[in-house]
Amino acid sequence: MKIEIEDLFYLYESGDETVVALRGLHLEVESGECLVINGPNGSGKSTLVKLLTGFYRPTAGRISIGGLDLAQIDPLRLRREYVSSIDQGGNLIGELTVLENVALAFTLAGKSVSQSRTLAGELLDRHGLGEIFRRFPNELSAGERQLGSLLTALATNPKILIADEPSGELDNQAADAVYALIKSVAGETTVVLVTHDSRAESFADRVVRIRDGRISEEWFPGEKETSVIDPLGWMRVPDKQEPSSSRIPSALRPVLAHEEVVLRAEHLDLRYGEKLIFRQFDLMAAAGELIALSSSSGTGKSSLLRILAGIQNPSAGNVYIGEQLLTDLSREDRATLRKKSIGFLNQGDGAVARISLRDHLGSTASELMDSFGSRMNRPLSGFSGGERARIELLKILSECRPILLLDEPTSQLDERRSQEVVERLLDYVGAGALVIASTRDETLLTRADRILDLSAT
Amino acid sequence: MRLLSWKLAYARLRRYPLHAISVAVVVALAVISLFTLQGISHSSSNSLVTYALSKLPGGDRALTISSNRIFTSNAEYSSIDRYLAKNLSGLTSAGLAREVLYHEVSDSHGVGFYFGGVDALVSRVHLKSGRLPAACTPTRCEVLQVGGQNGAAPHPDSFGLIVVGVGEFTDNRIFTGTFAPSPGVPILVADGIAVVSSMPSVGNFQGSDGWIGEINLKSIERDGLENYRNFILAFENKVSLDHRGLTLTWPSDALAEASDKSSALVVRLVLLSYLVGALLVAFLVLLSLRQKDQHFRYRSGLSRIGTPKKTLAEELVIENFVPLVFGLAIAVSFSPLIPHVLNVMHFHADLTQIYHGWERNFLLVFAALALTSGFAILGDQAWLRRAWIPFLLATGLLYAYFAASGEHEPRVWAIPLLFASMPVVLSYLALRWLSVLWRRRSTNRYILIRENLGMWQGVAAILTLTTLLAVITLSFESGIQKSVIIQAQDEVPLDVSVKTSASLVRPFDLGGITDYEHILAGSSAYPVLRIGSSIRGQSTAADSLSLIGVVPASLARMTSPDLQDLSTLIKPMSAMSEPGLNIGAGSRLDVKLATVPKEIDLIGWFRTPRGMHTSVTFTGHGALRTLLLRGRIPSDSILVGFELRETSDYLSRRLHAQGEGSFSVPVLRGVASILKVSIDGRPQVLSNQEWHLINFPYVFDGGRFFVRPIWQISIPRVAVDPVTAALARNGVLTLAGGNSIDFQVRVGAVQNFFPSAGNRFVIMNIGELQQVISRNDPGAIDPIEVWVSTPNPVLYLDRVKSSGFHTLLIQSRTNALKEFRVDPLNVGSDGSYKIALLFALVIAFIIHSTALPLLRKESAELLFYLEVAGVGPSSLRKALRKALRFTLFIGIVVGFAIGLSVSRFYISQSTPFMTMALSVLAAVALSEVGGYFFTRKFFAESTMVGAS
Repeated sequence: MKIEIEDLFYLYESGDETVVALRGLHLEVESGECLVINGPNGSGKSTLVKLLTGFYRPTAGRISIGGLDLAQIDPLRLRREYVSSIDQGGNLIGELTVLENVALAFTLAGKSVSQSRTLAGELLDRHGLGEIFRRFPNELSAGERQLGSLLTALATNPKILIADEPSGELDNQAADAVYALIKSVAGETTVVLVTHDSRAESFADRVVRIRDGRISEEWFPGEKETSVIDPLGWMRVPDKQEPSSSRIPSALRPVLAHEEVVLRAEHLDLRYGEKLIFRQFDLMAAAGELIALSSSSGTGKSSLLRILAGIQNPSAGNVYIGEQLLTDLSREDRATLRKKSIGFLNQGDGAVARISLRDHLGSTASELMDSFGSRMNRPLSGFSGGERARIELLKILSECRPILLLDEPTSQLDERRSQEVVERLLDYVGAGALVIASTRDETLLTRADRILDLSAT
Repeated sequence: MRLLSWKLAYARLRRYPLHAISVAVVVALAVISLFTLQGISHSSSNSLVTYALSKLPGGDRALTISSNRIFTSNAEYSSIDRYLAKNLSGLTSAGLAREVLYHEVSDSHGVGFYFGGVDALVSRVHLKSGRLPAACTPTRCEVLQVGGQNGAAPHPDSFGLIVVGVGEFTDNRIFTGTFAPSPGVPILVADGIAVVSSMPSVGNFQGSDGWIGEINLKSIERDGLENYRNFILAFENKVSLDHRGLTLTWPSDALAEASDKSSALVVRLVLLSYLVGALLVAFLVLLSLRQKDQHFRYRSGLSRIGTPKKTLAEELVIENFVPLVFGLAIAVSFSPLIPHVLNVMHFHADLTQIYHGWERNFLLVFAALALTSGFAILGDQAWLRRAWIPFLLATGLLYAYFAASGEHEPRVWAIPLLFASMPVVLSYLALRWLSVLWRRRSTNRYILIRENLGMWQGVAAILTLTTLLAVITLSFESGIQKSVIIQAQDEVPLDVSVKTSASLVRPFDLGGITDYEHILAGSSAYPVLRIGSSIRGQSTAADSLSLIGVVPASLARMTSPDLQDLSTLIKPMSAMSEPGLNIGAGSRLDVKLATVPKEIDLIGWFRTPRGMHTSVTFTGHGALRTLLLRGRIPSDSILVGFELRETSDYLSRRLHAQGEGSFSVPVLRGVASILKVSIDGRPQVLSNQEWHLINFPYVFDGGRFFVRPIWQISIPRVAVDPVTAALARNGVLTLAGGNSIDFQVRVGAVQNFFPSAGNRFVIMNIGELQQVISRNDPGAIDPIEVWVSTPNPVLYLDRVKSSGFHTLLIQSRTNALKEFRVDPLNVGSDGSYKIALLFALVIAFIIHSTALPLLRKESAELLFYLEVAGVGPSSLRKALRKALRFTLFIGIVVGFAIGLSVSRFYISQSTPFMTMALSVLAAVALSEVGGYFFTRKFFAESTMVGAS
């Protein structure tokens, strides 16, 4: 089924601002085509996905599928009969077992309840998930969850499949399985993949890039030439930006002697059940160093950071903070150590939502008034995801801890903000802090002193 | 798709079984509580009738039809008999007892007796001596003597009556009330009404027929008290039209009192059932709000794959419906146990009564279903256009619930709405506002409260409602205790009170003060005189008050210090002895008159050594009048005055002539003198200055004229109620003393309350009261009551009842307390409050004890964030417990403040602060122990990821 998008606009309110997420986007996807869409953070990819799946209504412009105007189709019917989608976290419903999730899709497609169960069981068996279909999603691995989500999406024989970062949290093996399944349906089903993963490009028919709400470039896998679609209308982001007046203010500078070893990991092993994540990982990290952890999903980057922060225990090995053996400390003492010495940023930290920004930032509030002005008294839930990510980072930086462990610090930021963050971190490192960040951000990776690939361990 | 909805709902229930079980359990408890309240309502309403009737003398408890022997033939009597049996069959139980009574027949020796007849005598008496009557014919009738054994035995032979035995009645319906003989006068009873009625020897005597039936309590239970009363009133109207000579008497006041109390009780129980309903709805809404985010994620996930909206709506309803229905099923299953539970609580109701109005409970549960569904989708953009539907449905169902409860007063409906909303809103706001106190002092606690504010507000709301109900319940209970004590004190001012009986036998007719004191050593007895009065110069109807004369020493025995102080106030200001002439052992009293026509009788008034006043008419109509004292006036009595009045013959003639417009029989008027008074021929010296015996004018226009010594007193000092005090002029009141006597009193003290005096009263020295009243009516000044102070009221009561005083109304304060304590209105209300409170405590316990575990689970991300940021486990545990403590504090303080205000205004002025303080301490202790218990395993080393 063909997808036609004409002059698509989507605007929304974020605080006092109106954000133009899509600004006159044009796109056509042929019936049966497999299209990959990528682009920097905040470029409008997720917004486009939500518009194609009927969760949002366009502010202006038109989307049609198979000649039908999406505005004329009930969103539930759209998702039931035409468009299936999956996203990074998987879409299995937590209250239903895997079998029940897939069977539900068959039922919605018109099968009887008993027929649905039989078909679901056969489908899961065919894809090697026969042993797990009585389990609930929270009992599955990330890969099993994602495969289950994909099978649920495909059970309805959708005309269009939209996958938003389907391999985002998966290890290589799981990601391979997911892409293999997607590839198997491409051709019969129109597939739109939003991803940075190069595996997707290997079987895609075409790749487009979105920048600032418009299609900017397009290319065909295997071909070197990239077509610039819209050279004048979109805003390119400069490679290097001058500091802006609204940049994050400088943090107070921690005083540490450069090159002093502040963190040491020895022979760390990590296993989840029978599954080995990494083994014999060693690390000596010194003050004034920026270390990037970069490897594919599922290699244990987040877990490593948690081990280094003392939040999680390794299966084997030791961690030293200075001369203090971390694994010897009680949970209480580790918290005390973190309060003094380790700042930790969890991925997507939106744990605090209802208290005001002023209350959340506490004593540093007076220094940050310029940044947020009258919005200081707004609850955190009133800020966008990107702003909250900035706020958390800002908070951690303001606490002046000598060691920072950051999990994907720029994942929710647009390119401009990402560059600002990287500059700040570099400032912080320059003041003598140790920063270890798990990241896919190209800018951060290029500025890091060291890049560690956990998949090698 | 319908099956799909069920499967999806089942998936949710399966995933969160504790939520479903909590809902089911609480619904079951609520419905069981409502059934129990219904049972208490029925039981107490029925008990109110029995209670009201039990306070009446035996003869006044029944339905009685009486007539004054109007029947011309047996056939007519039988016709009346059938008429009454038919019309009273539903109103009375166990059939009608019949009796006939001839009043005050005198034998040839002048000994009076009553002659009566009943059917089936043998089943109604207990034989004490002799034998039961065997035969009765119109000329010779064997009879049983009942009563009057202390007096002269009657000799009824001349009437053809033969006394064959002596006995006492075992059937308390017969020969009671208006058919009761005078004290000391025997009744001779024959077996069989028909033959008694045909005896010619008694044909000239005044007789009465009676039909007596017991109040049919089963009819009351079945039809309701108000309907039963209406049936009786309808019959009363009917019988007055069908048979004018028949009179119906029934305990209308007692049943009216029971009906009023029953109505008050029903309103109270309806209100309490509303409160239980409000608590149930509040609990379910709170649980729904707790599940809101989860259900939103579920709906979003289902919506993502295109599940139709209809299926989503059905799933939501089914998911909320199933636990409610399960709860209803549990309640119905356990409901057969409710009668047994009620029995243990001393209430009695069967399942039919408990289930009465069961459909109301279903309306309430479905209203809760609609509300919980509404709150689940409130704020969800996808359901915005339909979000009003469940709330509208809930409103309609709640309206139907209120309407079905039978209470139509908007005020009563407003109470549960206010109960559910105001405390909730106040506790919500208090928690939000006061939590800012921790903003700087304890950031962690502030974060934990504000990030889960909805959950804490829900906990605080339930605790507030529970505290409010607890305060009201304890205040009510305390109020009852206090009012029972006041009621008992009002009924029996000292330890025992002895009052004039229903047959008007006065305490001093049977004995003097020393007789009452000698019943038990160490006892003191005090006479009391009561008169109805009013304030002169005001409207009589509006200002009627009780005029009570007491002995000062009796007030010194009262428990209240204020009343004790009155004993000094009402000490007499002048000599109290009533002036007169002691007749000693004299046997004859002669009085010589001047210019007193023969149409005027002379009556002598005497005060006996017991202190009672009695009068006897002198014989003769000339100048010399004579009175034989022996056997009529006790020795050492005091002649306190003379009364002159028209003879009854002259009065009749004069009134008759006046009625015909004739003045041929004139009003007697003139000037007379009492020239000489002799006792046994010895002249007595009576000071004319004191007695005014010479040349006193008289006019007899139907009144009475007294000649007696002047009894001078100063204006008595009195204690009055505040309203009466306000009417005094310069502190002086003019009161009506009866028989055209007005007298003045000076207000010396104002009391809000005096036992047994009602709202408007004047308390004064009994001697002073007797002085003023006796001027025109010496016979009206005898005490009608005795108050006794005794070291052992129980023993005193036993002895006084077996000492020949049993015909009087005797009550002890201890017994009065017991009686008031078992007043079904109070017992029913108290029991119901406790049922509602128990339900509230269960809900509060569930909500409070699940708060921390729920927070641990649903705020795992937040707690992780805080721990990562450097807040240690022990700090987190403390912060959680302190947040819970703070919420408990808010709930108790807000609930207490509202509860106290409501109690003071509407329930009782009595507030048991000590009990409440202890309850609060217990709640806090339980909360602390629970908080420690639930949090001790939080953030343990073993729960860390990767812990070995």
